[in-house]
Amino acid sequence: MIEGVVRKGEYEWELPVGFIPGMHVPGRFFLSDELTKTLEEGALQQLAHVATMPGIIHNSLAMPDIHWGYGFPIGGVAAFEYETGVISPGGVGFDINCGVRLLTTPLNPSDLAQKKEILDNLFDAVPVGVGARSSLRLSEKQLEKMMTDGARFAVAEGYGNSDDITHCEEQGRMKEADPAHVSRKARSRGVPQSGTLGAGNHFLEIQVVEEIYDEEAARTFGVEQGQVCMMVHCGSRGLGHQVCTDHLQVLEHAVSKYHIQLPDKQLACAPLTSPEGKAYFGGMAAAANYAWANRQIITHQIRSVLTRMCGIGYDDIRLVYDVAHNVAKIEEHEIDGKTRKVCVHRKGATRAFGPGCPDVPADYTHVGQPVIIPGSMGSSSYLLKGTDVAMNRTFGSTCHGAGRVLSRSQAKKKIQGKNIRETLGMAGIMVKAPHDGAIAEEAPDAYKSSSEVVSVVHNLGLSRLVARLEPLGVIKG
Amino acid sequence: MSFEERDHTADILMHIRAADTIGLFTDAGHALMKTMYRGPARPIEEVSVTITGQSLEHLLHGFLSELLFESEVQNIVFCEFEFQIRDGEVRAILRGEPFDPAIHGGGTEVKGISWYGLSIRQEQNEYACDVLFDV
Repeated sequence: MIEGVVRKGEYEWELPVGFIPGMHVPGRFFLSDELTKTLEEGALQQLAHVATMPGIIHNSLAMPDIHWGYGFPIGGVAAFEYETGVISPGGVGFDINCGVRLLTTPLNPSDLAQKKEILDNLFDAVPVGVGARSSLRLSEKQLEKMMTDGARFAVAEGYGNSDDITHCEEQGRMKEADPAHVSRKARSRGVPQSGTLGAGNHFLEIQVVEEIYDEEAARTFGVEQGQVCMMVHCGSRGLGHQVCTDHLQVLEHAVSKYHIQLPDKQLACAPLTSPEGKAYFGGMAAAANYAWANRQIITHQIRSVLTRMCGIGYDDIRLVYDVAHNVAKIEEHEIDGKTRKVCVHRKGATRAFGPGCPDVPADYTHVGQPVIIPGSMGSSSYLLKGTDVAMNRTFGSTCHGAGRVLSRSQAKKKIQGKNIRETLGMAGIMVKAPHDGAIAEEAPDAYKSSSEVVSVVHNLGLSRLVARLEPLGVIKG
Repeated sequence: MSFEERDHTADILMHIRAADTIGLFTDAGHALMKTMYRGPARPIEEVSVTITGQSLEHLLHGFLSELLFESEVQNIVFCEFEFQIRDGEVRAILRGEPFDPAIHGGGTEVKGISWYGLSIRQEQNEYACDVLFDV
């Protein structure tokens, strides 16, 4: 382990105050011995940098999928006092409300004799890859509603049903959204991309529920063994990326205006109560709403294909839940015996609220919030549930995925997209992508084991395993 | 063109070298386009942009952010750049052709231009910098 890091338990490690100058709180991260082999020193430096930010509470945290990111490490979680703390795009990322949703179907794998044709139709219905454009023609007014109302906008336009809304984090809409803080540039990137998947690690998968670990929770979430499911992973597209770029410029000046000392320019931030901080938060929330609407429109496209090709009803395809894993939220948490209003940044981390939390849908409240952890291409994805332990220890947060271990260039040098397609094909997993390069970059070997990451949060109780899903067909952006 | 990709786990890190600042900006532009697109492009459409900034690094960051924006919104693969760089201002003419997935597809979506390690250094007779594309 890197010098200066203190082991605090089987899966817990601490960066003590003083690891770098200016830390207000310790850094704390969660890793198994196996996962320490791929830990990057740069990611730990970033974890320490976050600990120097004004108003941070208790710890700068990182989940077991920690790796080097922009500003915060990926897997980073930090809560800031509302009155004295800051908000930073570095704690959210360029892809605001990148997230994942899980849909169940009444199908089982034997109903997928036409799997190739289904995959082809999904590929045609959901625009993917660099340069892909939406067939939807959003007006200015519709874009404004999309940013204000999120998933509700999409449902009101006919792209879903009311259950979809109740089964989204924040009910698919951050009420603090203020489109006035979304620039013309961001809007012009958003208009042609509504309902598109994007590229990189974004995907749409046909999956099967392979194993149930928690019968009661699985029943509550409507998930059963052998069931075919669909998983969607994407975010706020160019609109969100531009919101981040635009506000970083403003916040760079805010750092000197408010005399904030930072060890890294990528952590540019402003007090939560300042005009600059409020503007970023309003713009970020509008982009988050765009992302929820985007995943909702993709859900409609999936339902349209499956109803047409598999003879099932539109409403037979049910949304289990939709989680954001790149976002900052104003939440109330019990801290040192008092309920306090804080801003929780989750950068490559998932909200994991436990049973009884008011923000968990009423039909899930006795179990806790569903937590969806996508695997890398060809590997297992997981459904977990939120816990009281997460509420007490990580501001209701857990991991978000596997986390890279190979750069994209290393992955492309080491792995041929064609070979991966063939290998996965032999395992019964069909892959469809605009180009083989996209497959090589996102190959399973380029990522940590999602199983190992999930086992750490399960063993710590930061979320608990409910079900394992295996891929049957993958569409890569 | 003088740029090479260096290893970075999460994103795409480009090392760029050139004899002068115009060469550096030109190669940085090509590095971004080669990350996003494959195949050749012809200079048949033209877009002009102006960027202001307090330092050369701000100008380079601003230029690349603008290039990313114009490419995505206009759906153009840019292949030629012409610059006028003065104190605190860059005027650029970008030339390229409309994106055709059959010719240009296969690249990586760039979300934004990072400030990570972005510092322009003068090394002997050339300028050098590292630029990280968030993907």
